[in-house]
Amino acid sequence: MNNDALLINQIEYSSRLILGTGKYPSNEIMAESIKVSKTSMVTVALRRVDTNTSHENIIQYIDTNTVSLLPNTSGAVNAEEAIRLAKLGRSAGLGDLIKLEITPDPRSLLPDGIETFKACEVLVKEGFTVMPYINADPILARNLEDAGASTVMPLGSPIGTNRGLETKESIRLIIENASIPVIVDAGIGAPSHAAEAMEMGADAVMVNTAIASAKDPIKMSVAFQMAVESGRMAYLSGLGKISTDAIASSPLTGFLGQVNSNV
Amino acid sequence: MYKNIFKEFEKNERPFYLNEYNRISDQQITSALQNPNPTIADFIALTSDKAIDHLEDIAHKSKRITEERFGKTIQLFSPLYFSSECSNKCTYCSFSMDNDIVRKTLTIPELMKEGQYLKNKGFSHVLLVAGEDNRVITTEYIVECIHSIKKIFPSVIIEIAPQNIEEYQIFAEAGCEGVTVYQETYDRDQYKLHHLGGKKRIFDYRIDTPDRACIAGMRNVAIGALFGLTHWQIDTLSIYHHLSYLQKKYWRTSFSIAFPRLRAHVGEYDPPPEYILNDTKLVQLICAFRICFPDTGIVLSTRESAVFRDQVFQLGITKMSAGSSTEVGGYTGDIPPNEPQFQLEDLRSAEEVAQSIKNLGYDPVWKDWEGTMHAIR
Repeated sequence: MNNDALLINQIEYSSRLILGTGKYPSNEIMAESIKVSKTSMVTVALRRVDTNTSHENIIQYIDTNTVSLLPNTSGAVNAEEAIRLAKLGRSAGLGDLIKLEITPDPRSLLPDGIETFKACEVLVKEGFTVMPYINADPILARNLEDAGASTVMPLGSPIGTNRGLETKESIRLIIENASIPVIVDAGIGAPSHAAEAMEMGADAVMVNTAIASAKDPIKMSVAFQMAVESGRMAYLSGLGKISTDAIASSPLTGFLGQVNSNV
Repeated sequence: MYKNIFKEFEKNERPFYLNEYNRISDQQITSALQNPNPTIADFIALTSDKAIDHLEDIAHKSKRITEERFGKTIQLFSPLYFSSECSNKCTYCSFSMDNDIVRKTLTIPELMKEGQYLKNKGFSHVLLVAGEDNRVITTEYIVECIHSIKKIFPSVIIEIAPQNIEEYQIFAEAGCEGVTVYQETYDRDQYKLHHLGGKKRIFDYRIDTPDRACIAGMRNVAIGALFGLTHWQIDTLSIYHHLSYLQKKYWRTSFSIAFPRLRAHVGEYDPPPEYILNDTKLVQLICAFRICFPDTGIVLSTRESAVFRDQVFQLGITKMSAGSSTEVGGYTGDIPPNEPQFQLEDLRSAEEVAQSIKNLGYDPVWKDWEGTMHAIR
């Protein structure tokens, strides 16, 4: 068994890379990307799921025997809508995992912390495994953990921007203080960003645009899988501390104990 | 509301910007392409005639931004015409009250039959369209239409006569998610020449319609102009200004724009050559708006030809109609044939359009909304 599995609400996941299902040029390419990435969890927008259609359904392309579905509430603009969507997903048989996304500004798609907290409280009581998408706000992260969130998913930079870990210092604080998994979500634009997050001690990363919009999404999934594994391995191996000051070769306090003193 | 801000704009700023079009240099276009936060000056550079020499670079940038923001996806929707009654006199429209056409307003069972036809084709997003006559197309009737069609479509948007805030609130509560309202033209003098009678004559009431829809809580609002009624620069600059105003003021609303071009119709107006937006200019507008408004939806209808649409959608478009009829009862066909609002160019079926999108390496998205997300009263 994998002795370094990602543990979310007592369930083990073999991979620390979570993929999205939006923005792919086709369902076939999405399916292949998921497969080669070795991911064990993919997120699906509940608003895009159509169970009674003559057209292909996105979920048909995901092998749910090996990959867990993480339904998300994207499109919701307040707690009420997110709760409604979450319940809809559960009643459609999509399980108890829910990636809570509440984004009232359709342009930046930045998450609303207040509404997210409200929805989290309700959904936890309803028995969901709640994984909230948040700004990299260390206090909000703690409040959500206290409210029973199963993970926190702080953003590295605004969604879809590929700008990497612009919120690095806040993410570092979140990781330091959290007892639940911290999954860096949004803004990860290159495998090096993913590796960086994992080296810092993030428990997992969630990637969509960088893979789906790549020239070759399938190859890019492999690149991310390798980056996440190598970042994790580096973290576990104990990275050497980076120091900005040179270590003084002549200790400044070496005299203590060498000279006679009145102690 | 926008009308007073627009008055300032049309009096002072717009003439200034129109003049700017005459002195664009290659240098300005190159720097517009490099500016990460483009301004209206950049927009003018990108839509200028001189920029035609840089069109390939402009198109590449627009395509890249679109793919980053929206992926290689195109959302599909269908119009559903439910009434051709109209009390306006517009020179360019078949539904104009003077035109001697057979008028038709769908009964609810007829509406549902049309809706079911579109549902069976795979559509989840429907645009309900009607002429403008509030004696026949009453608030109660519209609510009934929305309520009924909402049972089979997750997403319902209306393109009907401009309404007051109260009516829009009622429609939103009935399950309507958005409003499409084109100003037709932002040139006040030309507007008067083309809108000869009816409530539509009031320019200021129409221009405040997006404000009213936003205030009422509509989530999606689409604006635009019908190109061919005035010089394209006037309407282009005005759309830029209107959109900037709306996005800043109504930050919770998602906006789309469209650039419909005049087509053959039953009416007397044919645009003079200098008003016509040619294919190159349309491509320039799509790309320049995409570069300056990376998150805004851009819609391309079946007014444009199949060949043109297949190429252009890849440069910046996010939503397309397909397999459309602009005739009331035009899908199920057992209603006596009447006049379409305007002629269409892309006559392919929805399935053919979707297949073509796939063949070009894009994902046609049929459903991108969950109708039960918000409470319907």
